[in-house]
Amino acid sequence: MRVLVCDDQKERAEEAREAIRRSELDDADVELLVGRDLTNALAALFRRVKESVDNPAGYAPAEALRFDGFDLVIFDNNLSELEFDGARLTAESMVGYVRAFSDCPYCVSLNKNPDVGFDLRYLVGDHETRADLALNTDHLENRGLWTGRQDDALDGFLPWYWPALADVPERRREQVRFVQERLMGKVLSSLGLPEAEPSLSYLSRHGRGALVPSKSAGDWLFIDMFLERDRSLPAESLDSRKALASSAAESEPVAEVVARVIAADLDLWFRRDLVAPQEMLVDVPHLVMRMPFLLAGDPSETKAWQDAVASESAPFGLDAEIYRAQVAKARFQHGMWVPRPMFLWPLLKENEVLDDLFFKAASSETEIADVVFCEDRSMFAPRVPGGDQSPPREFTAEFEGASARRVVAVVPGYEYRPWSRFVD
Amino acid sequence: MASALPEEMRRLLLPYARAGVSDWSQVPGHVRGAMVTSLGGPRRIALKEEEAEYALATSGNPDSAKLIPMPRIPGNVGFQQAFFSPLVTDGGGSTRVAFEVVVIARGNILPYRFEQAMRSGTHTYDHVQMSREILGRTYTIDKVPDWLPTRYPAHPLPSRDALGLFLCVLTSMHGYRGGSQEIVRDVLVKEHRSADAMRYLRRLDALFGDDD
Repeated sequence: MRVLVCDDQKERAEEAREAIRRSELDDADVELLVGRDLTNALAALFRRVKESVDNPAGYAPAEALRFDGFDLVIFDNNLSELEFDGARLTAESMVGYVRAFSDCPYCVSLNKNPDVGFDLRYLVGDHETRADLALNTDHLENRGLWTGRQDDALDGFLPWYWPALADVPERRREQVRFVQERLMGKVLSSLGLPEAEPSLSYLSRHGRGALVPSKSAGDWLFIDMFLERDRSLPAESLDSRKALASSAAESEPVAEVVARVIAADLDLWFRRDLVAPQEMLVDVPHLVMRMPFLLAGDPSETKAWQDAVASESAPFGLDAEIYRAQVAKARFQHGMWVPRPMFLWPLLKENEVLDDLFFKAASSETEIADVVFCEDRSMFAPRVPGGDQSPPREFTAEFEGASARRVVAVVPGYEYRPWSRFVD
Repeated sequence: MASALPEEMRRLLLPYARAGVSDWSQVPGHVRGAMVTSLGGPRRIALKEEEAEYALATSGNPDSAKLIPMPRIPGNVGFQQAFFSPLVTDGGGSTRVAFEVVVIARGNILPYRFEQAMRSGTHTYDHVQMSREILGRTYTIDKVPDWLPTRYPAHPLPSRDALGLFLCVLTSMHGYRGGSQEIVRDVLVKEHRSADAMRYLRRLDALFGDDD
């Protein structure tokens, strides 16, 4: 995996590289781009941006950018000492352009919120960042961040909302291809998501207005997102975006730019409006909390619950027969948009067989362990732990929906923000 | 003497109350306004989760009691809205729980009182009766008929303890299958308390389920 760390200060870039080295990621090849070299690379990037905007129809990038060929670009957010005429720079002001105009698929912003270790608001890290993900330098040494596996987690800290960084470049490339093949297609139907009520109501009002504010969600086209959102290309006018959009049908390089912009926005929408709320889509741990009778193992044992988190192949720690007959058909089919297997909750919730099974389990004296899913550790834990261990804490996330109330273990040494979201 | 809500009840009442407040926030503003006015003003109603939680935490104190909106379930069109308020008292070495339940139907108010068995007298069984009192205030306005008898009939209930009494409240208001069963499951599962849900469903089943 090729990683490029960009910073105005060499020492800070080296700290980030050292943090990645400590994660003992097997195949990480980390390069630094700092100071004057970074200034020059950005100048070349913005020359390319200008060429494309000035003449979309003739846009044909000839020379490689310094960012090309990497799987991941990591920017320190504070670039104020970079030798650049004009305003002091932050990663936020340029990271979208790197993503759109280079072939590096995924951009991380570092240290934008240095005092936020765990995001209690929206369970995405930083919902406002223009980067694909906002992290802090010390997160990089957590091997779990890269693999997504709990047994790799440093101090046991592994936010469930972290995508496995080693996997995201390939997933993003698939996302871009998916979008590029459907620029004029409808978003929800292409994704196999409901386009009409009542199932559409499982998408929050925020989710229904986030991508294309001017249209009903069922009518969104992928290209609308490029026209109505300015997250990646904040300095470009609507006219410029329109010119790029209309050239996309004729020009492969422009279509790639447009698809990269849309894919990044759609990825954030999935994380902020579908994966975090667990309403339209539900993943395995949140599903078994709603339907514990689905577990393959003994639900009175914490191990059965944890097996369902760790399992990476169907039936994902669930009862094989029930999974085959009732659950598999609700699986969300476009895995490149979600970090782990997810299922259409409206279908499962309205499934009469599953409804009956819940009440049958209740009347059959089945014992259920009183466990909670700790979002900061990506694992189940007893609600009331033994000994002198602190119990997990409940919080209410800020997104709309019926599942905003969640639980964290609160790992010592990590900052949870904002503190006011805790309910006890 | 005032007393705290038993833990076994608190674990069900809190999620139930939160769900009620959430549903209440979806009622159109002008309808809510009319109901609040007819019940004596906003001070008497838990309009936010925090107010409902505080009202439950101080259930033994009539001064801080508030009417807590009950959740609605789709299809239940018999009444516009219902509210409940628990009152916990301590005396003679045991805790007793009663519930005021207020139903609003076509702008009219119907108050009920669900009570555990009295220690002596004729009402030595769990029962529900009509009432003219809401949070200690006697209603004589035309929305509550002043001829309502408040001691009889005292309908017997199948419960034998405080939790069972609350399950009777739920089933009275929502029905059983597709009603209190679903409400109990949904409000607890929503808060990741499926083990609790299973336990309370078993209690419901013992009270209202089929014998087989």
